[in-house]
Order: sequence, then structure tokens, then C-alpha cells
Amino acid sequence: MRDALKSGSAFSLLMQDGHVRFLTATVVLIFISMVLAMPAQFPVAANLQSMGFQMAELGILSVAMALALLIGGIDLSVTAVANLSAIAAALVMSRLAGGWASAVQMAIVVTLAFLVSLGIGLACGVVNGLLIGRAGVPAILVTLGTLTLYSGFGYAITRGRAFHGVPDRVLFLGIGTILGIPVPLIIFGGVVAVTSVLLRRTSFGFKVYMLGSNAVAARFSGIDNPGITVRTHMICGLLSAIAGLVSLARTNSANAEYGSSYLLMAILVAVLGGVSVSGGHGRLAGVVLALISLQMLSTGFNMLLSRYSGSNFFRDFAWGFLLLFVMVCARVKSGPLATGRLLRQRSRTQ
Amino acid sequence: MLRRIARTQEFVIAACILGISIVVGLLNPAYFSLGNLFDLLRSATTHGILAMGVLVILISGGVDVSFPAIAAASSYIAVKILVAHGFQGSAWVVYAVAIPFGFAFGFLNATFIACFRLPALIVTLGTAGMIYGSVLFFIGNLVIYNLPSGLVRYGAASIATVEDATAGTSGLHPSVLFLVAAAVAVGILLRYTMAGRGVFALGGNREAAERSGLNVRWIEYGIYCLAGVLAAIAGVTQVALYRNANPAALMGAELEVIAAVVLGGASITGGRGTVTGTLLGLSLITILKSSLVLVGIPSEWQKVAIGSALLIGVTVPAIRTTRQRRIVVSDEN
Repeated sequence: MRDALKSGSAFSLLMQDGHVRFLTATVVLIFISMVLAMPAQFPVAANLQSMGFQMAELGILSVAMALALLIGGIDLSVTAVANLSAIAAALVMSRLAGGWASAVQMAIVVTLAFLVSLGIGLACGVVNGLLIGRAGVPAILVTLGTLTLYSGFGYAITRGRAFHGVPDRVLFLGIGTILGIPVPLIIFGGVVAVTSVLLRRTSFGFKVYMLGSNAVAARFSGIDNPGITVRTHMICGLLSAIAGLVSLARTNSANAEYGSSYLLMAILVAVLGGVSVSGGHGRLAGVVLALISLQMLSTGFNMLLSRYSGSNFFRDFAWGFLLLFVMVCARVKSGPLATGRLLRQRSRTQ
Repeated sequence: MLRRIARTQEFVIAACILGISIVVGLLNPAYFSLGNLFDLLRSATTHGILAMGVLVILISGGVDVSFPAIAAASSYIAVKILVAHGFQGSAWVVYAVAIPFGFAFGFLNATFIACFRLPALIVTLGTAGMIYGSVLFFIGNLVIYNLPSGLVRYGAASIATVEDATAGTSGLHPSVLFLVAAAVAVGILLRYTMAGRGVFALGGNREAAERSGLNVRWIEYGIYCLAGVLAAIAGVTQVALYRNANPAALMGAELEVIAAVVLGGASITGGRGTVTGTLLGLSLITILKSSLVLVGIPSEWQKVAIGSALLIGVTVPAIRTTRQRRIVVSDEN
């Protein structure tokens, strides 16, 4: 997405997507109005940096959610997977840490912890994918079950408490900056870049869109639908684990309930970004823009309303309102959504 | 005939409940006491009333994640208004004030879903955020403990009590009648009325339902408003049972209630579902939640048990239908 923005032709290609254009306008509009409302507070480096820190975890989870939505499913277990893998990493680090004898030893332990945690993310994804792809259970039901199951394991391991004890070096991943850019934001950028290459430049990505737009047609054109489903959910699991690690490094704690409100927010970000809930449509550029606009809204309103009690609750209202507003606008502008999209695609191919 | 009954989801869930009950009962005789039954009913009432609304919506092919927000918001607004006016009367008035709010929120959902034809999951996700957010910000974010005295009396009331030497007195709270009434009403609606047939038709095939002359829009308005009203009733019940009005109450309950309904055999894609199944699914989850402790399984493992039950409950029927479909396909060849 980043290189798309650099080169003019790719940028203009991106701008042909009506929804991306609309979201870009929304981002600009929100930014300008926030700057006008708070010229001394909003457009300053510290504020932009703190928004970058806050965005990353939700952003990574939203990318995972977008992938699950693209194949026509959904993944309600993203936060549970994130927490479980963060707990696993914290567990490994605190059990094996001992006295942090040497740097080498610590590096080994930390690597091991990360591998365990990413492995758990992958395994959770495989379970989701197999139940959805092979057993044929609707994704919303499978992930509803695994949401309960995975967070249940989290509870069982932690007994409801929070885990601490992450070495300082690892915390850098959550609270450090490189050239003023928050490390979590860089990780998020990497996730977006890799995933969008995967979706746009590989045959796997093509198959994901095929499966999402018409599963029957995909099957008859020789696509291994269950295989694609399993692989997609493996990526979802992996991304969730990365989000879990980032949040572990940012907060230096992991527990079974952390960030459970992120679940519905991740769906919201993906859908607001133009990912179709029935699958097959949507691009990560939209997801990123939606994330930015929501983050600016919540930070901005938090500043504007800070003297009122409960100002952070206004965010929920604003997000819900924005979601419905954007959806209604898209509907009114293009009649029934599907036809609008069809027409747009047709005009592009002509 | 017997075989067909044995294959239904309801039968399987009932068998599971029976099995778990026998095991738990043998290990801890306190399980089979009337007092424990009353406690189980008490903890299932709110979710049960909510589940009835969710059932109708799932059968229609929709989904709703805003009902906890509606329940919390309408009950909190009602209590806040009444407390502000120094009201001390009966609990009925609280219900009467809350229900129109629930209806209005349901109407809001229905407008987005039926008029703008937006996906129900997204709409209710949006309205849930808006409802929780606006109540917490504009109306108040403090838990109200100073409830109207009528509501406090109602919360402590019971229609039957049992004395137990060890566990003390257990009472059956009158709100369980709301659950019974909701279940009977929804059962009659789904089984014996034209509107109920319409809900099933809508969930089975929307296009076909429209072409056969059903007013799909009215049906959608009806079900989301019904869910809103039921949510308001559940919300006030929750306030009475917990003796406080919390604007963030029930947050996160949506998935658990949907899980209970789905476990009871309702199809998430619409067209299938029964009141009996929903009540059984709800009972199974309630029993798993509260009874594992009785047999010495640590409470931390509750969620693992519920998650496993849910996964098995949705996977087994799915594998069975996939297999049936394969048989049908191979017969055709």
C-alpha cells in the first residue's frame, strides 16, 4: 500500500476504487476539522506518535478480520488467539527467564517464547480452518466456539490473573520508536505490506477473492476451497498472535480478557474499510484508511470532550455512527451495493 | 419415528443435559435439590428472555448483536427517569417505561436493515456502539444503586421458596414468569401464526418469500422491534435481580446468548430453530457454567467446557449434513 502511494499510477489506480476515494476524503475531512478545532494539540508530533502506538494492535487484528471476511467467513476468535499466544509467550519468558544470565541465553528464551506464541496462533488458525473448511460448519459458529475455547484455555492457564515479567529488550517492540516512528506502527506497516502482496500478487490471493465471491464457481474451476480456507485462517491466527505479542510488549502484561472489545472494533474497521461481509470484495488500503479515521475520531473527541465525564464513551457512539453513516452513504450513492460495485468494475474493464 | 426424534438436535442436547445432570448429581447430591433448580433458573432468566428475541431473528436469517446494549440502555434510562422523579412505586411501571425505549431501539435497527437493506450484523454492531456510547456519555455512566423501592421489593420477591439446612433459603424469582411468557408467546408466534410462517419463509429464502407476496419489510420491522421489547424486559429484570442499574450491564453477553440459541439447533443462516431447542441450549450452558464447580472442576475451566460443548454441538450436525449431501449427490450419479 505504501509503494502504491508513492508511485503516481498505482495511486490513481487506487483512486478508481470509489470506496477508497470516499475514505480518503473522510480521513482528510476528519483531520482538517480536528486541526481546526485544536490547532495547538492535535497536529503535534507527540499526539501523532501516541495515535500510532494505539492503532497498531487493532490494525493488525483488523487485517486478520479482513482476510477472514474476504473468503466469505468471519473470525470471532482473533482476540482470544491474541491473548492466548501473548499468555503463552509471557509464560515461557517468566518460567525460563531465571536470572537473565547472559544476553545469549535471553535471546534464546525470547526467540523460543515468540516461536511458541506464533505456533499457538497458527495452531488455533488450523483448528478454525479445518472446522470451517473440512467439516463445513459456518465460520461464525466455529469461531464463536473457539473464541470461548481459546479464551477458556487462557483463563485456565492464568486463573484469571494478569501475567507480567517481560524483559525490557522485548518491551521495545511495544513502546520503542525508530526515527520517531512507533515500533508497533512499523510492525503494522510490515503486516499490511506482506498481506497486501499476498492478496494482490500471488495466486493464493486470487483464490481468496475467488472463494469469497463465489465458492461454488471456485470449486468447479478447480480451487481447493477447504485448503484455501485452512491457509487463510492460519494467516489470521498468525496475525492475531503478532497482535498479541505487540500488546504484550506494549502493556507488559497478558491476560485472558485483554482487549476483548477489540473484537467488534476489528469487524467495524474491516467493514468500514469496504470489506464486504459476504466476501470477495475489499482491499487493505480501505482498512488502513478506516483505521486512521477511527483513531483520529476517538483521539480527537477524547481531547475535545476531556472535561466531561465519560468522554471515552463518546468514541463508541462516534464509531457506531460513522459505521452506519458510511454504509448508508454507500447504499444511497450506488443503489443496492452489489449493482453499484458491478457497474464500477465494468467501467474499469472497459 | 423414534429414530427421527433421536436425530434432532433437541434430543441430543437433552440427552447431554441428562447425562451431565446424572454425573453431577451422583458426585454432589445438592445438585438435585429444588434450591439448586431455583438458582439455575434465576441465573438463566435474563439470558433466556434475550434468547427468545435472538431465536426469532436467527430464524429470519438475520443476526443481532445489539440486544445487550438495548437491554442495558432501556432499563438504565427508565430507572434514571423514574429516580429523577422520585418514583417509588411498583416494578411494573419500570417495565412500562423501559419497553417503549426497547421498541424504539429495535425500530432503529429495523430501519437500517429493512429500508437500507444493510447487513444485520453490521447494523447491529453499529447501533450497539451508538446505544452504549450515547447512554454512557449523554445520560450517565454511574451505576444507580438507589433504585425505586418497588423495584427493590420486586428484586427480593419470590413466588416459591424452599428451606435448606445447608444452603439456606432459595427462592424462585417471579421474573421467571417473564421467561415462560416470552417462550410461550414466541412459540405460538412461530408455530401458529401467519407472521411466524413469514419469519421462517424469510429465513429460508428471502427472494421466494418476497415473490410469494409476504411483506418482508413489515416482518423485519416486527422481529427487530420484538427483540427490542424483549431486551428491555430482560434489562429491567437484570436490574431487579442485581439490585443496581448499570449502563454497561450485559456488555459481551451477545455471543453467549447467540451460542445458546445456536446450540439449541437454530440455524445461523436462517429458516430453522425452535423454542424448545433454545431453552435446552440455554439450560446446557447454564448447567455447564454453574454446576462444574459442584463436581470440583475449577471455575477457570468453565469456559473450556462451554467452548468444547459449543464446538461439538455445531460440528456434529454439520458433518452429518455434509455426509447426507454427499450421499444424495452420489445417488444422482
